Amino acid sequence: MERTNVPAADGWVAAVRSAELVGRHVAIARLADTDIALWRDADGRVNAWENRCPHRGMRLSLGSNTGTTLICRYHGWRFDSGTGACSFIPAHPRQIAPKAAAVRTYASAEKYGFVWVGFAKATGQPDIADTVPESPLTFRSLTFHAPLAAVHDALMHETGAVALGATAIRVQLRFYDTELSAVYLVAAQSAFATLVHGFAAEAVPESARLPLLRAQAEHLKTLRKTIVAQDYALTGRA
Amino acid sequence: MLVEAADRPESVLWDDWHVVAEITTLEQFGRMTSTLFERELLITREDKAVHVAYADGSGRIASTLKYGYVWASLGAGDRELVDFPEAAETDRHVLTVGSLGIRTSGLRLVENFIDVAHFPFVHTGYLGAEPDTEVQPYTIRVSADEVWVESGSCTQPMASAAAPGAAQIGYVFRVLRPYTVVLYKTNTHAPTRQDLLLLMVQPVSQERCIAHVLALVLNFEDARDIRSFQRLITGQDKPILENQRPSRLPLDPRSELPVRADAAGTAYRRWLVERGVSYGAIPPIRAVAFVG
Ligand code: FES
Ligand SMILES: [Fe+2]
Repeated sequence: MERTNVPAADGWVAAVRSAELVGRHVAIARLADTDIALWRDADGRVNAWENRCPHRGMRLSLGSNTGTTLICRYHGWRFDSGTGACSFIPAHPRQIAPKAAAVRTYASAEKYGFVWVGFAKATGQPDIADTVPESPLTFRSLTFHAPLAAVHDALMHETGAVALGATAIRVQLRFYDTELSAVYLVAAQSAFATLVHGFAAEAVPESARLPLLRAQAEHLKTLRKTIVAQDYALTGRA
Repeated sequence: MLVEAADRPESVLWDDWHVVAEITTLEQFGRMTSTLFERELLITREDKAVHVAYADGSGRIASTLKYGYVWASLGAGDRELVDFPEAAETDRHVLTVGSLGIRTSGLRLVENFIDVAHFPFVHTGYLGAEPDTEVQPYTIRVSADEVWVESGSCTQPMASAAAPGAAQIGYVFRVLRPYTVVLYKTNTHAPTRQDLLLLMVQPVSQERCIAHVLALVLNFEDARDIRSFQRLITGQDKPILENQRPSRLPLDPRSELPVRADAAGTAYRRWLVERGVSYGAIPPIRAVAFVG
Protein backbone atom coordinates (compact mmCIF):
# COMPACT_ATOMS: atom_id res chain seq x y z
CA MET A 1 0.00 0.00 0.00
CA GLU A 2 1.17 3.47 -0.83
CA ARG A 3 1.95 5.41 2.31
CA THR A 4 3.15 8.72 0.97
CA ASN A 5 1.42 12.03 1.61
CA VAL A 6 -0.20 10.98 4.85
CA PRO A 7 -1.37 14.30 6.22
CA ALA A 8 0.28 14.92 9.55
CA ALA A 9 -2.38 14.96 12.21
CA ASP A 10 -2.55 18.43 13.55
CA GLY A 11 -4.86 20.21 15.93
CA TRP A 12 -8.46 19.20 16.56
CA VAL A 13 -9.99 16.58 14.28
CA ALA A 14 -13.68 15.63 14.30
CA ALA A 15 -13.95 11.88 14.93
CA VAL A 16 -17.56 10.78 15.47
CA ARG A 17 -20.92 12.31 16.26
CA SER A 18 -21.42 12.83 19.99
CA ALA A 19 -24.67 10.90 19.70
CA GLU A 20 -22.72 7.78 18.76
CA LEU A 21 -21.03 7.63 22.15
CA VAL A 22 -24.05 6.45 24.07
CA GLY A 23 -24.16 4.21 27.11
CA ARG A 24 -21.27 1.79 27.42
CA HIS A 25 -20.44 1.77 23.74
CA VAL A 26 -16.80 1.89 22.66
CA ALA A 27 -16.53 3.52 19.25
CA ILE A 28 -13.62 3.37 16.86
CA ALA A 29 -12.30 6.12 14.61
CA ARG A 30 -9.48 5.98 12.15
CA LEU A 31 -7.77 9.36 11.84
CA ALA A 32 -4.40 10.12 10.29
CA ASP A 33 -3.51 6.43 9.99
CA THR A 34 -4.17 5.96 13.69
CA ASP A 35 -6.87 3.79 15.23
CA ILE A 36 -8.56 5.55 18.09
CA ALA A 37 -10.93 4.01 20.63
CA LEU A 38 -13.56 6.42 21.96
CA TRP A 39 -15.66 5.87 25.05
CA ARG A 40 -17.72 7.91 27.45
CA ASP A 41 -17.44 7.30 31.19
CA ALA A 42 -20.29 7.40 33.70
CA ASP A 43 -19.70 11.12 34.30
CA GLY A 44 -20.07 11.85 30.60
CA ARG A 45 -16.39 12.47 30.01
CA VAL A 46 -15.08 11.26 26.65
CA ASN A 47 -11.85 9.27 26.38
CA ALA A 48 -9.89 9.19 23.12
CA TRP A 49 -7.25 6.47 23.34
CA GLU A 50 -4.87 4.79 21.00
CA ASN A 51 -6.78 1.64 20.06
CA ARG A 52 -4.05 -0.63 21.27
CA CYS A 53 -3.52 -2.25 24.63
CA PRO A 54 0.01 -1.63 25.90
CA HIS A 55 0.18 -5.23 27.12
CA ARG A 56 -0.13 -7.33 23.96
CA GLY A 57 -1.51 -4.93 21.36
CA MET A 58 -5.18 -5.94 21.57
CA ARG A 59 -7.63 -3.44 20.08
CA LEU A 60 -9.20 -1.70 23.06
CA SER A 61 -12.35 -1.00 21.06
CA LEU A 62 -13.28 -4.65 21.69
CA GLY A 63 -13.01 -4.14 25.43
CA SER A 64 -15.76 -3.29 27.84
CA ASN A 65 -16.63 0.06 29.29
CA THR A 66 -17.53 -0.19 32.99
CA GLY A 67 -18.26 3.52 33.32
CA THR A 68 -15.00 4.19 35.15
CA THR A 69 -12.55 1.89 33.39
CA LEU A 70 -12.06 0.19 30.07
CA ILE A 71 -11.31 -3.53 30.39
CA CYS A 72 -9.17 -5.12 27.71
CA ARG A 73 -10.78 -8.20 26.24
CA TYR A 74 -7.60 -10.28 26.07
CA HIS A 75 -6.29 -10.45 29.65
CA GLY A 76 -8.68 -8.18 31.48
CA TRP A 77 -6.29 -5.33 32.28
CA ARG A 78 -8.25 -2.29 33.48
CA PHE A 79 -7.45 1.22 32.35
CA ASP A 80 -8.78 4.28 34.13
CA SER A 81 -10.93 6.92 32.51
CA GLY A 82 -9.05 10.18 32.13
CA THR A 83 -5.47 9.05 32.67
CA GLY A 84 -5.40 5.77 30.74
CA ALA A 85 -3.30 4.31 33.56
CA CYS A 86 -3.61 0.61 34.31
CA SER A 87 -5.25 0.08 37.69
CA PHE A 88 -5.62 -3.70 37.74
CA ILE A 89 -3.85 -6.69 36.23
CA PRO A 90 -5.94 -9.81 36.92
CA ALA A 91 -2.96 -12.18 36.56
CA HIS A 92 -1.40 -10.40 39.55
CA PRO A 93 -4.38 -9.16 41.55
CA ARG A 94 -2.38 -8.22 44.64
CA GLN A 95 0.25 -6.18 42.88
CA ILE A 96 0.28 -2.60 41.76
CA ALA A 97 0.44 -2.30 38.00
CA PRO A 98 3.69 -0.85 36.65
CA LYS A 99 3.63 2.84 35.72
CA ALA A 100 4.53 2.03 32.13
CA ALA A 101 1.28 0.07 31.80
CA ALA A 102 -0.70 3.00 30.44
CA VAL A 103 -2.67 3.54 27.28
CA ARG A 104 -1.62 6.37 25.01
CA THR A 105 -4.27 9.04 25.40
CA TYR A 106 -5.34 11.95 23.21
CA ALA A 107 -7.07 15.15 24.21
CA SER A 108 -10.77 15.13 23.44
CA ALA A 109 -13.54 17.68 23.24
CA GLU A 110 -17.19 17.85 22.25
CA LYS A 111 -18.41 20.66 20.07
CA TYR A 112 -20.94 21.20 17.27
CA GLY A 113 -22.40 17.78 17.99
CA PHE A 114 -19.09 15.96 17.41
CA VAL A 115 -16.38 14.34 19.45
CA TRP A 116 -13.03 15.84 18.50
CA VAL A 117 -9.61 14.30 18.99
CA GLY A 118 -6.68 16.57 19.75
CA PHE A 119 -3.52 15.75 17.85
CA ALA A 120 -0.26 17.71 18.01
CA LYS A 121 -0.70 21.39 18.81
CA ALA A 122 -4.38 21.08 19.75
CA THR A 123 -5.08 23.86 22.20
CA GLY A 124 -8.21 25.33 23.75
CA GLN A 125 -11.37 24.03 22.09
CA PRO A 126 -12.19 23.11 18.51
CA ASP A 127 -13.36 26.26 16.79
CA ILE A 128 -14.48 26.73 13.21
CA ALA A 129 -14.69 30.52 13.55
CA ASP A 130 -18.33 30.81 12.64
CA THR A 131 -21.55 31.22 14.50
CA VAL A 132 -23.45 27.97 14.50
CA PRO A 133 -25.80 26.33 16.96
CA GLU A 134 -24.04 24.53 19.82
CA SER A 135 -25.99 21.25 19.35
CA PRO A 136 -26.90 21.25 15.69
CA LEU A 137 -28.56 18.56 13.59
CA THR A 138 -25.69 16.33 12.48
CA PHE A 139 -25.56 14.39 9.21
CA ARG A 140 -24.35 10.88 8.70
CA SER A 141 -20.56 10.83 8.31
CA LEU A 142 -19.18 9.30 5.14
CA THR A 143 -15.72 8.09 4.14
CA PHE A 144 -14.48 9.20 0.71
CA HIS A 145 -11.69 7.14 -0.78
CA ALA A 146 -9.82 10.20 -1.94
CA PRO A 147 -7.15 12.49 -0.47
CA LEU A 148 -8.29 15.26 1.84
CA ALA A 149 -7.21 17.99 -0.60
CA ALA A 150 -9.38 16.50 -3.36
CA VAL A 151 -12.40 16.27 -1.07
CA HIS A 152 -11.86 19.80 0.21
CA ASP A 153 -11.61 21.09 -3.39
CA ALA A 154 -14.84 19.36 -4.37
CA LEU A 155 -16.71 20.70 -1.37
CA MET A 156 -15.49 24.20 -2.27
CA HIS A 157 -17.44 23.80 -5.53
CA GLU A 158 -20.70 23.32 -3.65
CA THR A 159 -23.25 26.11 -3.72
CA GLY A 160 -22.19 29.11 -1.65
CA ALA A 161 -19.06 27.41 -0.32
CA VAL A 162 -16.88 29.38 2.07
CA ALA A 163 -13.77 27.89 3.63
CA LEU A 164 -13.66 28.12 7.42
CA GLY A 165 -10.01 27.26 7.90
CA ALA A 166 -8.44 24.19 6.30
CA THR A 167 -10.89 21.54 7.44
CA ALA A 168 -14.34 23.17 7.57
CA ILE A 169 -16.52 24.53 4.77
CA ARG A 170 -19.80 26.33 5.01
CA VAL A 171 -22.20 25.60 2.14
CA GLN A 172 -25.80 26.24 1.13
CA LEU A 173 -27.85 23.06 0.89
CA ARG A 174 -30.90 23.07 -1.35
CA PHE A 175 -33.55 20.44 -0.99
CA TYR A 176 -37.10 20.60 -2.26
CA ASP A 177 -37.91 24.28 -1.92
CA THR A 178 -35.81 25.02 1.12
CA GLU A 179 -32.34 26.43 1.41
CA LEU A 180 -30.26 25.84 4.44
CA SER A 181 -26.80 26.71 5.64
CA ALA A 182 -24.64 23.73 6.57
CA VAL A 183 -21.04 23.03 7.57
CA TYR A 184 -18.85 20.16 6.36
CA LEU A 185 -15.88 18.99 8.40
CA VAL A 186 -13.18 16.97 6.67
CA ALA A 187 -10.74 14.66 8.45
CA ALA A 188 -7.93 12.67 6.85
CA GLN A 189 -8.08 8.99 7.70
CA SER A 190 -5.12 8.09 5.52
CA ALA A 191 -3.46 9.46 2.39
CA PHE A 192 -6.39 8.16 0.33
CA ALA A 193 -9.34 8.25 2.69
CA THR A 194 -11.16 11.27 4.02
CA LEU A 195 -13.99 11.35 6.49
CA VAL A 196 -16.69 13.91 5.74
CA HIS A 197 -18.88 15.05 8.62
CA GLY A 198 -21.59 17.63 8.37
CA PHE A 199 -24.19 19.51 10.34
CA ALA A 200 -26.93 22.06 9.79
CA ALA A 201 -25.65 25.49 10.71
CA GLU A 202 -29.10 26.76 11.59
CA ALA A 203 -32.11 25.42 13.42
CA VAL A 204 -34.10 22.83 11.46
CA PRO A 205 -37.78 22.39 12.25
CA GLU A 206 -38.64 18.90 13.50
CA SER A 207 -40.81 18.10 10.46
CA ALA A 208 -38.01 18.96 8.02
CA ARG A 209 -35.30 16.86 9.68
CA LEU A 210 -35.93 13.48 8.12
CA PRO A 211 -36.35 14.75 4.53
CA LEU A 212 -33.26 16.91 4.97
CA LEU A 213 -31.14 14.05 6.26
CA ARG A 214 -32.28 11.84 3.39
CA ALA A 215 -31.66 14.45 0.70
CA GLN A 216 -28.29 15.38 2.18
CA ALA A 217 -27.16 11.74 2.38
CA GLU A 218 -28.11 11.18 -1.28
CA HIS A 219 -26.32 14.33 -2.32
CA LEU A 220 -23.15 13.43 -0.44
CA LYS A 221 -23.10 9.94 -1.94
CA THR A 222 -23.39 11.38 -5.43
CA LEU A 223 -20.59 13.81 -4.70
CA ARG A 224 -18.49 10.94 -3.39
CA LYS A 225 -18.91 9.02 -6.65
CA THR A 226 -17.74 12.02 -8.65
CA ILE A 227 -14.69 12.66 -6.51
CA VAL A 228 -13.64 9.05 -6.34
CA ALA A 229 -13.96 8.75 -10.14
CA GLN A 230 -11.88 11.91 -10.64
CA ASP A 231 -9.26 10.80 -8.17
CA TYR A 232 -8.83 7.47 -9.92
CA ALA A 233 -8.57 9.20 -13.29
CA LEU A 234 -5.94 11.49 -11.83
CA THR A 235 -3.72 8.89 -10.21
CA GLY A 236 -4.42 6.10 -12.66
CA ARG A 237 -5.29 3.71 -9.89
CA ALA A 238 -7.79 1.03 -10.81
CA MET B 1 7.30 -17.63 -9.96
CA LEU B 2 11.02 -17.58 -9.49
CA VAL B 3 11.91 -18.18 -5.89
CA GLU B 4 14.50 -15.60 -4.97
CA ALA B 5 16.83 -16.39 -2.12
CA ALA B 6 16.09 -12.97 -0.65
CA ASP B 7 12.38 -13.79 -0.41
CA ARG B 8 12.98 -16.81 1.68
CA PRO B 9 12.43 -17.02 5.36
CA GLU B 10 15.46 -17.99 7.38
CA SER B 11 16.68 -21.54 6.88
CA VAL B 12 15.53 -22.68 10.34
CA LEU B 13 12.02 -22.34 8.88
CA TRP B 14 12.63 -22.88 5.18
CA ASP B 15 14.43 -26.20 5.59
CA ASP B 16 11.94 -27.54 8.14
CA TRP B 17 8.71 -29.47 7.54
CA HIS B 18 5.36 -27.72 7.72
CA VAL B 19 1.80 -29.00 7.62
CA VAL B 20 0.11 -27.96 4.37
CA ALA B 21 -3.11 -30.03 4.45
CA GLU B 22 -5.18 -32.55 6.32
CA ILE B 23 -5.19 -35.88 4.51
CA THR B 24 -8.96 -36.24 4.93
CA THR B 25 -9.52 -32.95 3.10
CA LEU B 26 -7.23 -34.03 0.30
CA GLU B 27 -9.05 -37.36 0.03
CA GLN B 28 -12.33 -35.57 -0.28
CA PHE B 29 -11.22 -33.46 -3.23
CA GLY B 30 -8.34 -35.43 -4.77
CA ARG B 31 -6.42 -32.21 -5.33
CA MET B 32 -6.16 -28.94 -3.49
CA THR B 33 -4.08 -25.83 -3.25
CA SER B 34 -2.32 -24.56 -0.19
CA THR B 35 -0.01 -21.64 0.57
CA LEU B 36 3.22 -21.86 2.51
CA PHE B 37 5.56 -18.87 2.97
CA GLU B 38 3.53 -17.04 0.27
CA ARG B 39 4.19 -19.82 -2.27
CA GLU B 40 1.16 -21.38 -3.93
CA LEU B 41 1.30 -25.15 -3.78
CA LEU B 42 -0.72 -27.80 -5.55
CA ILE B 43 -1.32 -31.00 -3.64
CA THR B 44 -2.54 -34.04 -5.54
CA ARG B 45 -3.28 -37.62 -4.69
CA GLU B 46 -2.83 -40.40 -7.21
CA ASP B 47 -3.54 -43.91 -6.03
CA LYS B 48 -1.97 -43.90 -2.62
CA ALA B 49 0.77 -41.36 -3.33
CA VAL B 50 0.59 -37.69 -2.41
CA HIS B 51 2.47 -35.13 -4.47
CA VAL B 52 3.17 -31.52 -3.59
CA ALA B 53 4.40 -29.10 -6.26
CA TYR B 54 4.55 -25.38 -6.91
CA ALA B 55 1.19 -24.41 -8.40
CA ASP B 56 2.89 -22.58 -11.27
CA GLY B 57 4.56 -25.80 -12.39
CA SER B 58 8.04 -24.74 -11.34
CA GLY B 59 8.82 -27.96 -9.55
CA ARG B 60 8.14 -30.71 -7.07
CA ILE B 61 8.44 -30.22 -3.36
CA ALA B 62 9.47 -32.74 -0.73
CA SER B 63 6.44 -34.07 1.10
CA THR B 64 5.50 -36.75 3.56
CA LEU B 65 2.50 -37.94 5.57
CA LYS B 66 2.20 -38.17 9.34
CA TYR B 67 -0.54 -37.97 11.97
CA GLY B 68 -3.21 -37.36 9.36
CA TYR B 69 -1.43 -34.45 7.71
CA VAL B 70 0.48 -33.72 4.54
CA TRP B 71 3.81 -32.12 5.44
CA ALA B 72 6.01 -30.27 2.98
CA SER B 73 9.44 -28.70 3.01
CA LEU B 74 10.34 -26.03 0.49
CA GLY B 75 14.00 -26.29 1.44
CA ALA B 76 16.26 -29.15 2.44
CA GLY B 77 13.70 -30.95 4.59
CA ASP B 78 16.62 -32.21 6.63
CA ARG B 79 15.03 -31.97 10.06
CA GLU B 80 13.22 -34.83 11.71
CA LEU B 81 9.45 -34.55 11.77
CA VAL B 82 8.05 -33.98 15.23
CA ASP B 83 7.34 -37.28 16.94
CA PHE B 84 5.28 -38.33 19.94
CA PRO B 85 5.58 -41.81 21.42
CA GLU B 86 2.14 -41.30 22.99
CA ALA B 87 0.59 -41.57 19.52
CA ALA B 88 1.29 -45.31 19.62
CA GLU B 89 -0.68 -45.90 22.84
CA THR B 90 -3.73 -47.97 22.04
CA ASP B 91 -6.11 -46.17 24.40
CA ARG B 92 -5.55 -42.83 22.70
CA HIS B 93 -7.25 -41.00 19.89
CA VAL B 94 -4.97 -39.52 17.27
CA LEU B 95 -7.32 -36.88 16.01
CA THR B 96 -6.97 -34.01 13.62
CA VAL B 97 -9.41 -31.61 15.21
CA GLY B 98 -9.47 -29.00 12.51
CA SER B 99 -7.61 -26.39 10.54
CA LEU B 100 -8.58 -22.78 11.04
CA GLY B 101 -7.32 -19.82 9.02
CA ILE B 102 -6.34 -16.85 11.17
CA ARG B 103 -5.35 -13.43 9.88
CA THR B 104 -2.28 -12.86 11.98
CA SER B 105 1.28 -14.04 12.34
CA GLY B 106 1.64 -17.67 13.37
CA LEU B 107 4.09 -16.52 16.04
CA ARG B 108 1.28 -14.54 17.72
CA LEU B 109 -0.73 -17.76 17.68
CA VAL B 110 2.01 -19.81 19.36
CA GLU B 111 2.44 -17.13 22.00
CA ASN B 112 -1.32 -17.20 22.65
CA PHE B 113 -1.18 -21.00 23.01
CA ILE B 114 1.39 -20.86 25.82
CA ASP B 115 -0.38 -18.03 27.64
CA VAL B 116 -2.65 -19.08 30.54
CA ALA B 117 -3.47 -15.52 31.67
CA HIS B 118 -6.11 -15.10 28.96
CA PHE B 119 -8.11 -18.21 29.91
CA PRO B 120 -10.60 -16.50 32.29
CA PHE B 121 -11.33 -13.78 29.74
CA VAL B 122 -11.26 -15.50 26.37
CA HIS B 123 -12.24 -19.07 27.34
CA THR B 124 -14.62 -18.06 30.11
CA GLY B 125 -16.37 -21.02 31.69
CA TYR B 126 -14.14 -23.55 29.95
CA LEU B 127 -10.48 -23.00 30.69
CA GLY B 128 -10.91 -20.31 33.31
CA ALA B 129 -13.29 -17.89 34.98
CA GLU B 130 -13.17 -14.83 37.17
CA PRO B 131 -12.28 -14.32 39.97
CA ASP B 132 -9.65 -17.10 39.61
CA THR B 133 -7.41 -15.01 37.43
CA GLU B 134 -4.14 -15.09 39.33
CA VAL B 135 -1.27 -16.75 37.49
CA GLN B 136 0.94 -18.73 39.85
CA PRO B 137 4.67 -18.57 39.28
CA TYR B 138 5.87 -21.22 36.85
CA THR B 139 9.17 -22.49 35.61
CA ILE B 140 10.74 -22.14 32.21
CA ARG B 141 13.61 -24.10 30.85
CA VAL B 142 15.25 -24.10 27.49
CA SER B 143 16.67 -27.51 26.75
CA ALA B 144 17.49 -29.52 23.66
CA ASP B 145 16.65 -26.47 21.62
CA GLU B 146 13.11 -26.35 22.97
CA VAL B 147 11.27 -24.09 25.38
CA TRP B 148 9.51 -25.90 28.23
CA VAL B 149 6.99 -24.10 30.38
CA GLU B 150 5.90 -26.01 33.47
CA SER B 151 3.05 -24.35 35.21
CA GLY B 152 1.62 -25.36 38.51
CA SER B 153 -1.97 -26.41 38.34
CA CYS B 154 -4.82 -24.07 37.66
CA THR B 155 -8.53 -24.44 38.34
CA GLN B 156 -10.52 -25.01 35.18
CA PRO B 157 -14.32 -25.00 35.06
CA MET B 158 -14.46 -27.38 32.10
CA ALA B 159 -11.04 -28.48 30.96
CA SER B 160 -12.22 -30.78 28.18
CA ALA B 161 -15.32 -31.97 26.38
CA ALA B 162 -16.07 -34.65 28.98
CA ALA B 163 -14.63 -33.08 32.11
CA PRO B 164 -16.84 -34.10 35.04
CA GLY B 165 -16.69 -30.55 36.42
CA ALA B 166 -14.15 -28.04 37.64
CA ALA B 167 -10.73 -29.56 38.15
CA GLN B 168 -7.15 -28.71 39.04
CA ILE B 169 -5.29 -29.04 35.77
CA GLY B 170 -1.54 -29.30 35.38
CA TYR B 171 -0.04 -27.76 32.29
CA VAL B 172 3.23 -28.25 30.50
CA PHE B 173 3.89 -26.40 27.28
CA ARG B 174 6.69 -27.44 25.00
CA VAL B 175 7.68 -25.24 22.07
CA LEU B 176 9.39 -27.59 19.63
CA ARG B 177 9.82 -25.29 16.64
CA PRO B 178 9.08 -21.61 16.06
CA TYR B 179 5.68 -22.58 14.62
CA THR B 180 5.03 -25.80 16.55
CA VAL B 181 4.02 -26.25 20.17
CA VAL B 182 2.51 -29.03 22.25
CA LEU B 183 0.53 -28.92 25.46
CA TYR B 184 0.64 -31.76 27.99
CA LYS B 185 -2.45 -31.48 30.11
CA THR B 186 -3.76 -33.61 33.00
CA ASN B 187 -6.55 -35.93 31.89
CA THR B 188 -9.52 -35.30 34.17
CA HIS B 189 -10.44 -39.03 34.22
CA ALA B 190 -6.92 -40.36 34.71
CA PRO B 191 -5.07 -37.74 36.75
CA THR B 192 -1.75 -39.57 36.41
CA ARG B 193 -1.82 -39.37 32.62
CA GLN B 194 -1.79 -36.52 30.17
CA ASP B 195 -3.59 -35.52 27.04
CA LEU B 196 -1.50 -33.92 24.31
CA LEU B 197 -2.65 -31.08 22.15
CA LEU B 198 -0.33 -30.28 19.33
CA LEU B 199 -0.56 -26.97 17.49
CA MET B 200 1.18 -26.86 14.15
CA VAL B 201 0.96 -23.49 12.50
CA GLN B 202 1.16 -23.24 8.74
CA PRO B 203 2.70 -19.85 7.92
CA VAL B 204 0.73 -18.73 4.86
CA SER B 205 2.42 -15.34 4.95
CA GLN B 206 3.95 -13.20 7.66
CA GLU B 207 0.49 -12.05 8.70
CA ARG B 208 -1.68 -15.03 7.84
CA CYS B 209 -1.61 -18.55 9.12
CA ILE B 210 -3.56 -21.75 9.50
CA ALA B 211 -3.87 -23.39 12.90
CA HIS B 212 -3.75 -27.18 12.62
CA VAL B 213 -4.57 -28.87 15.91
CA LEU B 214 -3.88 -32.53 16.60
CA ALA B 215 -5.26 -34.15 19.74
CA LEU B 216 -3.56 -37.19 21.27
CA VAL B 217 -6.24 -37.67 23.88
CA LEU B 218 -7.14 -40.69 26.04
CA ASN B 219 -10.27 -42.27 24.64
CA PHE B 220 -12.59 -41.56 27.56
CA GLU B 221 -14.21 -39.09 25.28
CA ASP B 222 -15.96 -39.35 22.00
CA ALA B 223 -13.94 -38.16 19.01
CA ARG B 224 -16.73 -35.85 17.95
CA ASP B 225 -16.86 -34.17 21.36
CA ILE B 226 -13.10 -33.65 21.42
CA ARG B 227 -13.26 -32.05 17.99
CA SER B 228 -16.09 -29.71 18.76
CA PHE B 229 -14.56 -28.71 22.10
CA GLN B 230 -11.18 -27.89 20.58
CA ARG B 231 -12.78 -26.09 17.65
CA LEU B 232 -14.73 -23.97 20.10
CA ILE B 233 -11.54 -23.05 21.98
CA THR B 234 -9.60 -22.13 18.81
CA GLY B 235 -12.64 -20.23 17.56
CA GLN B 236 -12.60 -18.14 20.73
CA ASP B 237 -8.96 -17.20 20.17
CA LYS B 238 -9.40 -16.24 16.51
CA PRO B 239 -11.13 -12.85 16.99
CA ILE B 240 -8.61 -11.94 19.68
CA LEU B 241 -5.63 -12.82 17.50
CA GLU B 242 -7.02 -10.97 14.51
CA ASN B 243 -7.36 -7.79 16.56
CA GLN B 244 -3.84 -7.61 17.92
CA ARG B 245 -1.70 -4.83 16.48
CA PRO B 246 0.76 -5.15 15.00
CA SER B 247 -0.02 -8.55 13.50
CA ARG B 248 3.60 -9.55 13.48
CA LEU B 249 5.13 -10.50 16.80
CA PRO B 250 7.31 -7.63 18.03
CA LEU B 251 10.58 -9.07 19.29
CA ASP B 252 11.99 -5.89 20.72
CA PRO B 253 11.66 -6.21 24.50
CA ARG B 254 10.42 -2.62 24.74
CA SER B 255 7.65 -2.77 22.17
CA GLU B 256 5.04 -4.38 24.41
CA LEU B 257 4.67 -4.67 28.16
CA PRO B 258 5.00 -8.15 29.63
CA VAL B 259 4.45 -8.85 33.33
CA ARG B 260 5.61 -11.88 35.30
CA ALA B 261 2.66 -13.96 34.07
CA ASP B 262 4.01 -13.48 30.54
CA ALA B 263 7.35 -15.12 31.31
CA ALA B 264 6.52 -17.93 28.86
CA GLY B 265 5.87 -15.49 26.03
CA THR B 266 8.95 -13.50 26.93
CA ALA B 267 11.10 -16.66 26.88
CA TYR B 268 9.58 -17.67 23.55
CA ARG B 269 10.35 -14.27 22.02
CA ARG B 270 13.91 -14.37 23.29
CA TRP B 271 14.33 -17.91 21.93
CA LEU B 272 13.11 -16.69 18.52
CA VAL B 273 15.64 -13.84 18.59
CA GLU B 274 18.45 -16.21 19.52
CA ARG B 275 17.55 -18.49 16.63
CA GLY B 276 17.34 -15.58 14.21
CA VAL B 277 13.67 -16.13 13.41
CA SER B 278 12.19 -13.06 11.76
CA TYR B 279 9.46 -14.44 9.47
CA GLY B 280 6.21 -13.35 11.11
CA ALA B 281 8.06 -11.09 13.52
CA ILE B 282 9.23 -7.53 13.86
CA PRO B 283 12.92 -7.98 14.65
CA PRO B 284 14.45 -6.13 17.60
CA ILE B 285 15.63 -2.62 16.81
CA ARG B 286 19.21 -3.57 17.54
CA ALA B 287 20.94 -6.75 18.61
CA VAL B 288 20.16 -7.63 22.18
CA ALA B 289 22.74 -9.41 24.27
CA PHE B 290 21.52 -12.27 26.39
CA VAL B 291 23.30 -13.45 29.45
CA GLY B 292 23.29 -17.09 30.58
S1 FES C 1 -3.56 -7.38 25.55
FE1 FES C 1 -4.77 -6.11 26.76
S2 FES C 1 -4.73 -7.08 28.66
FE2 FES C 1 -3.39 -8.28 27.49
FE1 LIG D 1 -6.63 -19.34 23.91
